[in-house]
Amino acid sequence: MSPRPWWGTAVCSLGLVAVLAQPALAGSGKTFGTPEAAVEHFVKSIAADDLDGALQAFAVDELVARAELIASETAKRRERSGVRVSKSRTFLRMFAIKLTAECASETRRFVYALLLDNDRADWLTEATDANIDSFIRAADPARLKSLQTVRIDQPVPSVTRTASALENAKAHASAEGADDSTERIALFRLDGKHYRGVFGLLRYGGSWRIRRLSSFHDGDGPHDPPVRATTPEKYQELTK
Amino acid sequence: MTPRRVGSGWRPLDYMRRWWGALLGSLAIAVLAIFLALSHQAIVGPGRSFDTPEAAVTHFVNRLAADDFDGAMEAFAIDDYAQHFDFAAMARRLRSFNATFMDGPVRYKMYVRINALKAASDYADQTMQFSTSMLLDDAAFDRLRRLAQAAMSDADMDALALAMDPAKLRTLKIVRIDPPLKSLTTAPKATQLAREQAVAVGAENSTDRIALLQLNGTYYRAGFNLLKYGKTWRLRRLSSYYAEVSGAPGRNVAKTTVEEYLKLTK
Repeated sequence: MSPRPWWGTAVCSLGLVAVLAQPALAGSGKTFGTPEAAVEHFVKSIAADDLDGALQAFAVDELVARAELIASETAKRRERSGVRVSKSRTFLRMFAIKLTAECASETRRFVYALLLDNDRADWLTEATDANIDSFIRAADPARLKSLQTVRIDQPVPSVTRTASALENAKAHASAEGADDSTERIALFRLDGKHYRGVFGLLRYGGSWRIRRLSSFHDGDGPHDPPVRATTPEKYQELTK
Repeated sequence: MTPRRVGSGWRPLDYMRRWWGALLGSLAIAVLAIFLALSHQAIVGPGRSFDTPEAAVTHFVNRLAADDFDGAMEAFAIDDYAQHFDFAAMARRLRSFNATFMDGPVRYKMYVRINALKAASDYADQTMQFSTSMLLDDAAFDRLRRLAQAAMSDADMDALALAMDPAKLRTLKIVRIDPPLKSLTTAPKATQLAREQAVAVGAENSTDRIALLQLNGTYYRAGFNLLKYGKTWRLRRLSSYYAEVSGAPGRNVAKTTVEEYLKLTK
């Protein structure tokens, strides 16, 4: 069994597994009618050096609201069973902070992957003055001002649009309290170079939100950088 | 720039994920209710000023005992740290850098904000560990670790959630706060090291404190590392190299006796 994410463990520690299939809540922030709209918003915010705008594209509100719903259901179950119910909000507050920080960290990886060559941010680099200075100059988010989205696509539709893949996507979404899940890849252009980004998204009601900057169908998953240099031709191959 | 990959088989991300998995698995938390729209508001309130390390420690422990998580977070160096983190100084100190796992250069506002979010997240983890160190006995800790890997009955999880109720820290008291091992920590080499550690995170000085705590008749010892920004002291870590909590995985507070604690003050 693969380890649960920390917040999944946290939810389970309250005995909440039984209510994971409850209806999803809609987020209270911006809404995105399509996966493409969420991806576009994220990328435009990054290009505008607007971290808070970029974070709006993530499913933070929905997952926190989901946790609130689960907590409420669990509290009712416990009260019915005569078990004392804690009134503390401390651990849910921690959950929200952790989740927001996780999205911010993913966003920084995305930014670094565009600004630095390939996965250079993941390398251990000797701390010479020249290397440090070069990194700091290269990491300037203002350099993303000219970032453009060329196109957004569903990855390998020959696989991801099959009945079993769609069924899996819904099951995956349900485990996170969403109605559906999907993935998108995007082709970007920055300073004459092309890059490929990957996005995992969830649908809550009528709105799509980014859950993670990784894809099961493109790359090795969360260990890969969320953006890689590519060519339009190589990108095209992933859309078949 | 000529970055080099050190040890091609070593995947820092894998390593960190395993580390996190182990840590967070052992510290799984009970989740209740929360407000929304976090991305549109400050992640935590502004930090308070504390004239002495003791004042910061006292504030943290008292707020934790009052189940006031946001109040407890005020004692941490979140904004100061996020704004003053010195990427170059830290890299030089470590002699190498891995940008993914270090905080970002504060020349750019985007990284200042991310540094703050990551710091708050780290402090939340430490605070959770601090609470559960006192709330859970060894059997409950073992149950918590198993929870990360396997399903558990409602009854078991109800018991765990009840044991982890932060309201059970209501009677937590500070008995005393001291500089640890004065014979070591007041030596010139130690004070120089403390300043070097502080500079790497943009602070003027750093220091450690240990505290003797009492909860429901049991004594605990805790360690604290603090940073000085301007005239105010704030918490950086809920641990101290001098508090001797090692050997208790998943805990940053350890049971003690008054006699054991006093030895750590000499």
